[in-house]
Amino acid sequence: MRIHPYIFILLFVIQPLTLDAQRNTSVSIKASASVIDKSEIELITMKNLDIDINNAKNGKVYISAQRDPQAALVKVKGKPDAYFRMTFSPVVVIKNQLGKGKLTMNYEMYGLNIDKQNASEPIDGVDRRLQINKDGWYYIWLGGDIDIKDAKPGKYDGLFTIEIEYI
Amino acid sequence: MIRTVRHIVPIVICNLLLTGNAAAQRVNFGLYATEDIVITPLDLGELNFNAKQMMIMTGQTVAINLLDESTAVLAITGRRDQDFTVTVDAPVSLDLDTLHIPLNLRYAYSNMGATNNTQAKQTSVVVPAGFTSVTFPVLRRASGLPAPPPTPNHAGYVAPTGTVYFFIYGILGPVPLNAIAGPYSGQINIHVSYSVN
Repeated sequence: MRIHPYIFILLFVIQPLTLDAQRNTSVSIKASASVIDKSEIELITMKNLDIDINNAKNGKVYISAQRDPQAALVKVKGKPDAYFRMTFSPVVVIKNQLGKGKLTMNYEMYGLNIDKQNASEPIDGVDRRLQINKDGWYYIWLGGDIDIKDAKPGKYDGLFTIEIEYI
Repeated sequence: MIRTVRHIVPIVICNLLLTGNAAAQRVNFGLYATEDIVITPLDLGELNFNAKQMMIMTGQTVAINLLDESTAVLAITGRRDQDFTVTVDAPVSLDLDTLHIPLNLRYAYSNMGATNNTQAKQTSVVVPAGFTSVTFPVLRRASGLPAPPPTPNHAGYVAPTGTVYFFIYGILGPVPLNAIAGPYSGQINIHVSYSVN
């Protein structure tokens, strides 16, 4: 009896093991910084807001930006005689540095181009045109309603954002 | 008389579809690989120097320190029994057109099994200055004998995962005196892979 030989061709597929070493993933984040020109604008805090809890009525302390000496004073140094517009966030919550307690600030802001608090005018309208004096200065007083119901004794560092735009 | 002998011939067809299947497997493997490590930028997912100092002017230098809130934080999740290699590809300056502000970044990681980034910062390890790549275990091993080798992947096996926190911070500046006002930016690329032993 004859035996017929048959040849089989078998294909083997070998998984490339090197794929294992390529397990990786990537992400990108943005680094950014907005630089402003010194000659354009500079804010200098002359006096901080001084909150005396003894003056609280119904859990609130009111400091008049126009009249009270406890109001904060910030000097704006900018282009002499330039007109500008200023906006700010009226309500800011400030947390205690130790993480317990908070103050709710409801700011009011008054301003004038001479250092005379009593004559200052309210800055509340978005479209109000303000003018830096001929020496390059403008003065801002900050006060407002401060809700201290949830406050605990301690130091509070607040960030108050003012946006200034030349027009 | 003609005698007929019947031969039974087994035929195995090895068709080329096998190759196609292999290619498909390779794609799947890739998908698995990508899903295996998850990098999540926390907070805003950026390193914003204005968050540390709102007004940055010419001549100034702004330093974001490790413990500052403005530090950029990434949470990286992967297999707990592996080592991560994190490589950072970062620019040496933040740019606005042809103007540059020098950028000197530093990195730190925390692999102590912290559950949030505040806790992680307290237990972080600072990568020495000048290094842009670092390898560390996903979960720092306690002292004693080395851990057993990782369990190989197999059907139905879900490897336990761990999360490490990676921090990016550093120094910007000094802002050149001739820098014009405007937004300066740069892109930091972070690559994470399992370390191949």
